Amino acid sequence: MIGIKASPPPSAMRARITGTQSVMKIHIIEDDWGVRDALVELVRELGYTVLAFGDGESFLQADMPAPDDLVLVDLGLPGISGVDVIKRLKRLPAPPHVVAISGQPRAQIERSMRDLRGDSGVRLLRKPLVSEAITALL
Amino acid sequence: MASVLDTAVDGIIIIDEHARMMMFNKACERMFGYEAAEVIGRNVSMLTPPEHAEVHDGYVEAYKRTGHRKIIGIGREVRAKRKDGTYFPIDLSVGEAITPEGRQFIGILRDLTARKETERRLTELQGDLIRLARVSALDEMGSAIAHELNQPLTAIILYLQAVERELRRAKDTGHSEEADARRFAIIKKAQGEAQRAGSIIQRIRQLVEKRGPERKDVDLNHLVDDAIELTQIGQDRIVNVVRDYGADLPMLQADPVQIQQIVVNLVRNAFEAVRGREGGEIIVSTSLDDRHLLLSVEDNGPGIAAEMLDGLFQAFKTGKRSGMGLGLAISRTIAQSHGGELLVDPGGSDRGARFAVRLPFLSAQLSAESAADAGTLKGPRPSEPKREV
Repeated sequence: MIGIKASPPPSAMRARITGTQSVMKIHIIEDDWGVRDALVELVRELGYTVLAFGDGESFLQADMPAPDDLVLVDLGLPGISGVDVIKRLKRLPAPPHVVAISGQPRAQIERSMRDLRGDSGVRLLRKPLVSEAITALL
Repeated sequence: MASVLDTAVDGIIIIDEHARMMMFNKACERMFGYEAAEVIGRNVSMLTPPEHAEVHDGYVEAYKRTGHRKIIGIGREVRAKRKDGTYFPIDLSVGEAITPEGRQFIGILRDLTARKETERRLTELQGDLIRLARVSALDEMGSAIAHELNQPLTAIILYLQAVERELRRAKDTGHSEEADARRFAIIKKAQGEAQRAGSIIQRIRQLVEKRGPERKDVDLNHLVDDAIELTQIGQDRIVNVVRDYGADLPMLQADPVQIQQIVVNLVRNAFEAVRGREGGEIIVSTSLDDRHLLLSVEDNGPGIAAEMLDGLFQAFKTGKRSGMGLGLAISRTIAQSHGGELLVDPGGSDRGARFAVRLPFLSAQLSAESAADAGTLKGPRPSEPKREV
């Protein structure tokens, strides 16, 4: 399911997440310091464990997320692109939930996301983000 | 004789060696608003502004004494005074005739009012065009700028919502010193992001606001640095931008916004040239030779194809998908209006392109010197078009 619209997550996904909330981790890959830090503050305030990365390389070197984890990936990363990170995650035997975030213009996002056609379950949030969009994922 | 001179388009005045007017033709009557009868026999200084009136007698005397020519046979641009007291620019050339009645001087006057007006309009138009190109460049950068503003805005919203949640919870659990310190820290960070958004807008506004061209002492390195920051907005961050600035450069007399416009244009083009290439690199350097400040922007892209080179600096010729193709044409115009030049080394076969801007840093002193020259009329004529935009 690739869509630009921030539709609510499928109910199945939500059920699974709430069922394992205590161990679920949130991985944030965002190169902009301010956005990354604000996401960390918000998600931590919501009571989740957060792992934050400034680029795709350092994220891929760390431990891979568990199937119930949520990964927020900025599409416009320096170095390895957000799309490439998502592709790597989708190749995992049990991929985590992935949400792409982007402040790029729609046309550019569509170009990036076209690359992901065939991968399901990647949703997109456009910046500016609001906390409701994040909490809806949890 | 007089009737022949009256048919002349140019103003003609003949004076005797005491600077008394003997002849004042119809064209002069139209220019000055005096009837010939009103001026014949009077000193020509009545037609000149005070600064010339005082020296005019001196000129004639000095020439008679020394034979040193300050104006005769040379011609120069001077101001003249109409009957109503207003001044207007004329081109004046003076010839000399030895007659049985003594030495006479013949002045030929051309009214420059219209030409000055045209020059002023052209300058104004050029300023408008330069600004238009600036706005058009920003227009092309529009979505990148929106993205750049999105980042701090996103951060601000999330910070504020995090604090809001914390405070809502504090209603139930009460305040603790530690939690309050954390909330204050988040609010501080939100403020920092708001300032970041503000400074992006400020930088952009500088480039868009309508303002006349100006000249002031500027620090080239500082100017270049600011422009690079602006250009990097929304660009590929894998591209390595090397800044190699010369130390202790002298101040430059320039229009800072226009110089930044050149930098923005050249660096954007360089980004374009290395797009999608592995190990893309842009080197921006500043340096000094004996008379010029040099600014160079070099990329390691494919270079410029020979067939592109001809139209490179022409407006509306562009090899790019977007844009009006004004960047290089305008950049060269700006460099030239500063008395400088924009040059290109097209590179090719494994070498990227290199653009170099040469700007004379002595321009202030030089123009002071040439003004001094003009005083003795040995140097260039003051009517030589000075490049000022």
